[in-house]
Amino acid sequence: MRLAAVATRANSAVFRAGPARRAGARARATATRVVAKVDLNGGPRVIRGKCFVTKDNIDTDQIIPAEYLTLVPSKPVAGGFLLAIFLRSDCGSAVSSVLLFSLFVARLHVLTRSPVTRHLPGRVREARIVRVDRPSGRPLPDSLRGSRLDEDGLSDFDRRR
Amino acid sequence: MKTDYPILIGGDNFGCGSSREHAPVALGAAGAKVCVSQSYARIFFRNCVSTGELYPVETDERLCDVLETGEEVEVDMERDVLTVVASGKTYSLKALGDAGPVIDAGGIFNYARESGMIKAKSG
Repeated sequence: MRLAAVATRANSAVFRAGPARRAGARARATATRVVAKVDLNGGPRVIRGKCFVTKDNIDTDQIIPAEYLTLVPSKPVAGGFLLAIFLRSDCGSAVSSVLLFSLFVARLHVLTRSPVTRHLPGRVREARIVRVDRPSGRPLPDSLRGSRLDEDGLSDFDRRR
Repeated sequence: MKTDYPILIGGDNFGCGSSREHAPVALGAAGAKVCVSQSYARIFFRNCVSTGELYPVETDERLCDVLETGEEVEVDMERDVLTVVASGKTYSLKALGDAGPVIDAGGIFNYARESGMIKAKSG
């Protein structure tokens, strides 16, 4: 009798966990798997390529892939942009530079119409576009370098476009 | 989409504010392979080594004032030297030391498995 009660409880627990488990399995199946170890193919530790120069006090705790700044995920990404944005944030008493290493495709026109800072941590005060590339199509003018992101989004960028 | 810039150049205190391993993981996922800075935030450095995502190389030179984004460089962690490809100018780096083999192995767990500290995964 007691065993049966335990078994019933166990079965009902499994039953209750069923949809959650199925949802978890679905999420695991569809999740993007990050495989990003440094791969030197067994060769010597020599890495050659272009460098990305930053300065002091880079706060990497606020790395936000620009992919997630796209506000309307159902709309397909048209073209692509490679952004590198530096932010200045007030971390306690120190003002530090934040490297927003946004190397994913984002829709710039969506960015321009959305208050980007709303999606960033509250302590971020200011952001500047350091580099904008379009993998397809002609590059955006250099004059955009240093465009300011403020509370209204990329308003400065909008004016200069 | 991977970055065109596998090499990051920093100044002092690179990676400050980052206690999570997401910081080196995100950089590694974006395609960054090595970071050359004067100094690192302690936990960021540790996370780079533990995750095996990014080689955190230290240097006495203030390279962030010398180099510009887009310049092609070669980071040779065997000879501990950074070479600017266009000019051939070289800058000395500090040795990775014991951190090197751990990153080579793909992080602290892989290193522990390879060196027999913990049991290797079956199958």
